[in-house]
Amino acid sequence: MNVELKGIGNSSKSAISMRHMTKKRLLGKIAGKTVMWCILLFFLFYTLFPMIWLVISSFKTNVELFDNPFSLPKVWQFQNYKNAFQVSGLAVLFRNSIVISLCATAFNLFVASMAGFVLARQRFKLREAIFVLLISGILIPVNALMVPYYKIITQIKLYDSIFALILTYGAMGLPISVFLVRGFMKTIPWELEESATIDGCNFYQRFFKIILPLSKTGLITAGTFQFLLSWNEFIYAMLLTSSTSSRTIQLGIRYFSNQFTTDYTSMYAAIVISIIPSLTGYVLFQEQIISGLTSGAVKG
Amino acid sequence: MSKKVVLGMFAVVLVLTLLFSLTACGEKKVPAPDEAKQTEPSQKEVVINFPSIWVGKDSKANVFGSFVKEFNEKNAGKIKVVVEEMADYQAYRDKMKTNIAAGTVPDVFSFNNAKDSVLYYKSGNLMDLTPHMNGGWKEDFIADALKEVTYQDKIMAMPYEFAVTPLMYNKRLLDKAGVAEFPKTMDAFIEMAEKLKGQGVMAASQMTGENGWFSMLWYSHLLVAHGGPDVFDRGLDDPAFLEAAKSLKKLFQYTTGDAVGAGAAVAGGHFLSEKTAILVNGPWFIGRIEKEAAEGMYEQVNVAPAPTVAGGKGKQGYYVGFIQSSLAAAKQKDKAKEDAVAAFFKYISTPENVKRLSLDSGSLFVIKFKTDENDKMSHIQKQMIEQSSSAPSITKHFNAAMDTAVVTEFPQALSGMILGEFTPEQFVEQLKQKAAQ
Repeated sequence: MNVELKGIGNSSKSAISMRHMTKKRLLGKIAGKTVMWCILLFFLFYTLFPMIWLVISSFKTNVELFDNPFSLPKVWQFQNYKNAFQVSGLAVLFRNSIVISLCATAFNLFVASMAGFVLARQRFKLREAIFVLLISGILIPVNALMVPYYKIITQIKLYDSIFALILTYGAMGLPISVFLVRGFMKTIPWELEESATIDGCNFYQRFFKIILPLSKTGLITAGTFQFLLSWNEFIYAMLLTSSTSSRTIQLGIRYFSNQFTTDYTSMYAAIVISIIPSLTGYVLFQEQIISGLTSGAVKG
Repeated sequence: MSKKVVLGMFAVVLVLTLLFSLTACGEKKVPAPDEAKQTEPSQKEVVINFPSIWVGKDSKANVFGSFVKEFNEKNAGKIKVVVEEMADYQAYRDKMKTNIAAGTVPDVFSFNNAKDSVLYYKSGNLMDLTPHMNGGWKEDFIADALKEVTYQDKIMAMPYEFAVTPLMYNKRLLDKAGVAEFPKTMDAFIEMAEKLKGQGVMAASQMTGENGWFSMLWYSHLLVAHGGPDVFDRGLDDPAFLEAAKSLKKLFQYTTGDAVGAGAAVAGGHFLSEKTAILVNGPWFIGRIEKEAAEGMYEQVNVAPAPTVAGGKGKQGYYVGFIQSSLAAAKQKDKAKEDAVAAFFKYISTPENVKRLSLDSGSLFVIKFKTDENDKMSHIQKQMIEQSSSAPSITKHFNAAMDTAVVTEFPQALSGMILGEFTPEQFVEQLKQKAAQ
């Protein structure tokens, strides 16, 4: 009886200790998950807070904004969004930005992919020197090129046209795009190209049929950077255009900032509108962008 | 999301945007500055390209826009002014500098009369307005205004907007603190600041962010108070620069905690929301007080000259004022175009038009005009005009008197002084070093 009791006692003890351990583990797991969620929520809040603040502020009056920057609006000012469209002609500028950014990205990738292919896959003298020369453009501040760009664009009669910005942005982004695309193309196994050559592929076929499709992820990464550059650029948009028909949304945002006064809340409304395409692009291409960033395109 | 869907969406967006781009390309565009200048034959309609900052939400935008419209209607088929809208002033300055560096000056453009303006005059690319001014036009301008834009005996620009920057104070807050009259001396001012502090209100808005505008204006006032109206003629070695720095440092004890690093929007916002009782700024701020200040505050805002200091050379009632903006034109080979530009300048500077612009925007101008009782003028603007008319001296502000390097250094050096990194002596030394460069 005693033995039985003892046995029962032991098993119940071990059951209790197992339960205790399970409980402990469970508690540990819960604690671990709580910490993880706390950290995740902190970073989520940290990342989203400026955006939420911007959206809420875009519905306030300027007086409310200065009086208490973190309060909710007493009356939601949809008028700010109306102002954004009416005062600065945001609709046309928005359309121009989309056209310019997409075309500049296409132009940039077209050139960068060809340059990247030659610099990554062909062996010739001065290859590295040409590459260094090309990417050294990354180190040149954009302001330093204002006068030459302005002169070139006016000389070729493209002043105040969307083509002025397409060409300029496409060229400005080339150093970084060539750097990214070449880095990605270098990671593609040589055997693939050699097999293609054995199968009869010529130079162009190797580029268009083998290397270019395999570099898609790298191209999307470079394209994302280029699109963001074109979308957010302000200095050259201001310098090379003079009418609404060729200006971009960044100039529209600044339309609310005058010599002595700034209508911040209408400007915030314009900023919120301007963010939409970048967000949409990211949602559409997030898989490619993330895999491009993590699989070699930016590893050099 | 499947690959096909993504590619499909991308293709649709691309096609749509290309279609849009074709529409955009078909729209009429403004000619490049030099293009407009060189290709328009005189017998055809003369096109004047005018990049303007008085657009968008600028207080002068409405009336100035009407001027352009009226002028174009009046000269239909002969002259056409095409406005290039550029609301952002810093961007505008950058573009004008680039234009001039590239040798393509716009037909008409505006600039503020900082010391660097002489570079524009020296460039040799500006139209000489002297022959046009000699026809009696110059009589419309207030005394000495044309001196500011005269270089080697030639009138190189048309002075236009004038500004004074007195102390705007909130009488309601002063009454609450038991201050019956606005202080005339610095000692009385500090006494008032203490009383206001007791009520939870800071005396004055200060800022060291951006170009430190409000604090720079305070420094300008204090410089005149200590060194007199000719203080800038004596340069940074004058003891007034150090004394004014000491006074300014003291004033920062009576401002908001965010003054170091604050921009004009934040510092101006404190005045509008009654966190501070005094703001030093120009007439362009009147519209904001009227529209954005706390309820009932606009009627309570008055202006006063800055206080004097014991032993200082500045006389009671002194003002800080300056030509805020001038208009210049590109040198023209075509006489018809030169005359067209002069005609446009004359139109926007007639006393009747300037009066319209001044009454609507609250801004002041260097062109003389008369007002009568029926004219609706802001009481703040009226006080500014009256006080500046009877001021013993009107001196330009620090930024207008100093080189760009010194102006750029001012906010950084001021931040350092307020944070205790520099003494007032070191603050002045910082400015001197920049001036020497």
